[in-house]
Amino acid sequence: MSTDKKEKRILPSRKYSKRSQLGEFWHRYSQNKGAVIALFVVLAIGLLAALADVIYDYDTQIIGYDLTQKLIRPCAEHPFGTDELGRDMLTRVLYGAKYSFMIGLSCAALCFVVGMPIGALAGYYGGTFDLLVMRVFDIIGSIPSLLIGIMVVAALGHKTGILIIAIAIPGVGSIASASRMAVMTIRSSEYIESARAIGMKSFPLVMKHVVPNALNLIVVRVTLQVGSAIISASSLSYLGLGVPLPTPEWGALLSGGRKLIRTHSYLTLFPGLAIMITVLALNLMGDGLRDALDPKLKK
Amino acid sequence: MSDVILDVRNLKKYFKTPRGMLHAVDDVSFQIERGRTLGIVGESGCGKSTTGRAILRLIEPTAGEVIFDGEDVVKLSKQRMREKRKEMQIIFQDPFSSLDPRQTVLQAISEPIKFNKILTDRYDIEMRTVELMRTVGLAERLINAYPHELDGGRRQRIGIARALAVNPKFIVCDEPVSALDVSIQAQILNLLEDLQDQLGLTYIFITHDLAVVNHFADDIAVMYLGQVIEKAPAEELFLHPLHPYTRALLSAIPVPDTHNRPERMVLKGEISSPIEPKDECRFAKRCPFATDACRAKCPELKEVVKDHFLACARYGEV
Amino acid sequence: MAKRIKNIAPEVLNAPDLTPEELGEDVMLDIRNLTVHYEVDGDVVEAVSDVTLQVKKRKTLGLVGETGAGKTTTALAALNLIPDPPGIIKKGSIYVCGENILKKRPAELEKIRGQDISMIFQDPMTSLNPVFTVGDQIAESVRIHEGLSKTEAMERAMEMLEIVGIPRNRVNEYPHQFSGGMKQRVVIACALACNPRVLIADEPTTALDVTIQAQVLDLMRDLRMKYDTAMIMITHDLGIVADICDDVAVMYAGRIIEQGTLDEVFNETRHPYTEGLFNSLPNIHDRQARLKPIPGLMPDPANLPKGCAFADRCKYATDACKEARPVQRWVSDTHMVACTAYDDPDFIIERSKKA
Repeated sequence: MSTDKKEKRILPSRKYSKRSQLGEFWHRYSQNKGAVIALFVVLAIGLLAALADVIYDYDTQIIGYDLTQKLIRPCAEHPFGTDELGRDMLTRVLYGAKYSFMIGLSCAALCFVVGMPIGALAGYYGGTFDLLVMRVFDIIGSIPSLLIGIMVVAALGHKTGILIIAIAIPGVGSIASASRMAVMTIRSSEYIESARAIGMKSFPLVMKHVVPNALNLIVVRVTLQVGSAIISASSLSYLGLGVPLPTPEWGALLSGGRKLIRTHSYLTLFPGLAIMITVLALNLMGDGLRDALDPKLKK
Repeated sequence: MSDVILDVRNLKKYFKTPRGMLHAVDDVSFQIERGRTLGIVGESGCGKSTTGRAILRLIEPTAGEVIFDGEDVVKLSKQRMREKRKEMQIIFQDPFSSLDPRQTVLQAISEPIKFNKILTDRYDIEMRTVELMRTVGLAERLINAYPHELDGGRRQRIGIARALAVNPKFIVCDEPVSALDVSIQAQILNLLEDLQDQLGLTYIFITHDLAVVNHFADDIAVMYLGQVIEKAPAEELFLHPLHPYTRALLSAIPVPDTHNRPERMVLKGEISSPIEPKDECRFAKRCPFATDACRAKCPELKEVVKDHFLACARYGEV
Repeated sequence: MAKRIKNIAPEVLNAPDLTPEELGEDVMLDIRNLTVHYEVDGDVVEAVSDVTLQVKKRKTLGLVGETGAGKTTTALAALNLIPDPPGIIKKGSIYVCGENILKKRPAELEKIRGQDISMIFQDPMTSLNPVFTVGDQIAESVRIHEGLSKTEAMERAMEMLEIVGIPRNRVNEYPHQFSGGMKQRVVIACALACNPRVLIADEPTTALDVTIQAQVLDLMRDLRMKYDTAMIMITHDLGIVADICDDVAVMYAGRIIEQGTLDEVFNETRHPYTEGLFNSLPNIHDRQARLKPIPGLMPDPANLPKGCAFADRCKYATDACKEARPVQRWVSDTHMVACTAYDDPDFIIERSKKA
């Protein structure tokens, strides 16, 4: 092919600017100031969690103790004070982000990977499969999630991996039912019928039309799931069933400070605040995502 | 034999409901000649949309034959049916929900071309898309726009371009203009007319708007509760409506004219249930002329005048 | 004067009241120079500009126009129900039965709505509450406004159902037990239960089938005579206008561009847009005639041109049309047109040439 023929072949779509979906998404997300702040908070915590081992040395700074420094109240040198073994609480709380965030993320990921396909299939095919799956999740949903956590950890042992599974179980149901609803709504919309009318087979149709549109709706639920997993993990750790001390997981830190709450309340205050801020930020971010991703609100 | 492109015989579609079988389409038969337009009119729930979708097998018919170009599409395998859909297309009512909100104009129009491997080279596909956009009157600069950035008329044009992309011979237009404003409605109707002339298309035009169907269709079938109760060439039907329901329907059209206002025939009584209907004329409960004979047996569609079909027991009497 | 409703501009609240003489006799709804803006993210959308309307007792005004022309906003303003935010009433006055409703307190407004002025919304499915019986819903408004006892109110509800052609024994049924047409009639019964003196119907029959539409229109015509109601019928269907209205106002891009009696607007059409609407409709008596659509689209209401908003779509448009907003021109006591082309005394649109 000659070069000048190639030059003439400018794709029509290249001639006109395209509003990128990401750009538009950000435009709408940025309307919600609270969500933008929340996003930065989440990013900061995420960064901290990722770099925790680079910044701090686990053996000396996190679990290494110095009894001469014990129970110092918040001051310039130790803004969050120190615990009864003389460890700096600021360092421990910041390092703790690694555990809480990792547990939260992996739980949400697990819920998504397991719950989304099950829910989507149930919603797409309906019938007996749908009925069966949804009843099973209903039954799981009727057991308090903390109880499930306690049972699983008690039965299978005291490991972080087990903890993640224990926390994820109730979440799978909620992601599955969200996916099911999303797929059912999309399946009955006319653009799916339109795709069938042009002769699309089921599989490409699901991959091109159902999944991307459903993801919009599910992503929000997954974000909220991260927050609730952090809370569940902390609750279990607080009860002594989660990550064991001296690991500075936030729930474990709360549990550790519990005995001294009357005299040294800062030991529980700061880990508590850390949980609250993280979960709040995640929830605000979820709210922002929901508004930014909903195609009905576009315009 | 005339050039019949579509021959629908005894088409039935029943839906299961908790109270029994709902007869959405009950024994519908008609023929369409190549290049003509059959209008299907009726009120909501009369089964007109279901008929259109059953012909394309977007809804599987319960029984009946749909002979398209000499081949019964109801008997085709799923694979063969997908092939056949290149020749049989549909335009949807709601231009807001019939487009994937995440697809640009280019993606929406080129999807059928890509998927059916009509063209494979990216440049050819895009050029064909631009050509289709021009055909339906969409400016080329909108190629990267998303549906939510466009108005209803333009979205409907995308829907039409999408249907045309596979070079169909036959298109079911399911209320294509009901969601549009009058001035836009006229633009789309003219476009559909021009396309029919240029491409030799055959249409089924489903609508509840009698003024539109009178303008657009060559023949009109009137449906009531799942059945065709009258079918005739458009002019004949409007001049000599025979079925009492057709007459009521025609008299109820609001005419934008302050002179010669039609005498209105207002219907009373309840609409019969389409669930497990009795063997009686389904219009009998609302019909001012109903007799015991009407309630005893459901009348069949018969040719009473040349090309004029009617299902009414009291033909010739009222 | 204290600011009572926050989405009304101070000039509107401080304007002196009109005297009864200025309002005129039998005028049940009087809207003058109404301008409503929607302000979103710094963009100002002129939803309604300088709209003046009057409806007298027993008369029906048809308000015609395309989606986004400002019909519904005008109607909501008449009930002082402009959504806030983003709506702001910038200018004008609205009198319902001689009362300036823009200066009323919320509690006073609640009394006026329903009793003096009432509205029927387009979608009957969303304006009925699914958890109450239709009888409860009709009776509720009667009890609020007329202080009737529960049994009396129920009795009235049954009467109202009968008037709209629904057997009175269905008073204890729930909305889902009714068909679409019947639900719309229930909505009408709700709106009429307190015999409002002004009734605004926003596309009341769009969701209905033609045969049911005919029934509902007949019903509204009867009720208007029976209860001396003044009505505004908002619609895009010129057929319905011809059927039930006495006067017509055509709106385009927030302004009334032609207004007059039914006969004047239909048979002595002046405005090119009104002509375009008629030409867009299929002619039921001449099925071969090709439709003549109005080319193009209505301009974005957030970005209106400085001249005539219709100029870009108008085949008669001249440079003068694009320069300045057309002035309102009265061609008879009742017939107004806002079109610059009539600066030329010989100008006449094609539709009127034939007539």
